[in-house]
Amino acid sequence: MFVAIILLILLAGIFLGFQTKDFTFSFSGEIIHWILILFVLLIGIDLGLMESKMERIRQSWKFGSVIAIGTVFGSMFAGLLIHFSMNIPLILAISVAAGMGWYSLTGPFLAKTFGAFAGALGFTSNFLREVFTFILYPKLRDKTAGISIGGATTMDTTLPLIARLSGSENALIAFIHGFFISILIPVLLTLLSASA
Amino acid sequence: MVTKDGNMIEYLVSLILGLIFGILIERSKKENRRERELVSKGMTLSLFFLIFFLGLDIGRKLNLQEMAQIGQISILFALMTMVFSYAFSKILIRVAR
Repeated sequence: MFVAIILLILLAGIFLGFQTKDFTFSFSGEIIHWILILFVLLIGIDLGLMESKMERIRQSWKFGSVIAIGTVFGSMFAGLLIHFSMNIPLILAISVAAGMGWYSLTGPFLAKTFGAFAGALGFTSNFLREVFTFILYPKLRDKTAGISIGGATTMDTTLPLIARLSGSENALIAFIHGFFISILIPVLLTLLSASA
Repeated sequence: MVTKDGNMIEYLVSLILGLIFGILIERSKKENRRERELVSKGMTLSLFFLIFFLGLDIGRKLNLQEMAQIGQISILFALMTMVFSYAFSKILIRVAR
């Protein structure tokens, strides 16, 4: 029921946003930013109220980094497979996969490095990864490993969903995971474009 | 990832401030069930607002023509990266435990 409400709200937002494209809704990015700040603050308070479980929270660092390694290697491996199956140039396929959900960076970066097609592919693929995370994360049985599907978005846009469905401890793992991935993406994209 | 650019530090500071605030509340009171309920309600409410405005932002950026041209490959990229990230993470977590 809760997931249905989430998807309904998301679809209503997408529909309204698409219908009112020409109308100025430029404040929505700013609102998202402030709601996220409030949300992350609330997660912090929730974790602080569980001070007795602090030892388990410390474990979050370990799992956050382990899942981040899985996300990086999993994404790169997927890029490699797509290169072989779809005949897309190796560096381009791995670069698109290395975006790991950060479409606002990957799209423009690839457009500048490999051209318009690569930019559009990088943007759309990583944009869809974020949208699919909202749909698929609730269905996953292993909610801790499932954090990886969100890639870099787990430290902001998909964090509330993860927190609501799997608790504050997993939310902290998701935040740490997203933090590591967000640092790695620009480094990986730069290295890949340099080797092109 | 509509809001990432340059905001990572702000989120981190917000998380740490919340953590300190939460610990202070826990230490000052024996029972914190009411506070936890309030925080939980606040989180649900902000989630609904966040999802709505995120959808609004996605809808504004949606380019149907571009989507149609490279849609299939993009879906393949999105799903494959998600599936393998999940599989690799699952294996690594099992090893780490």
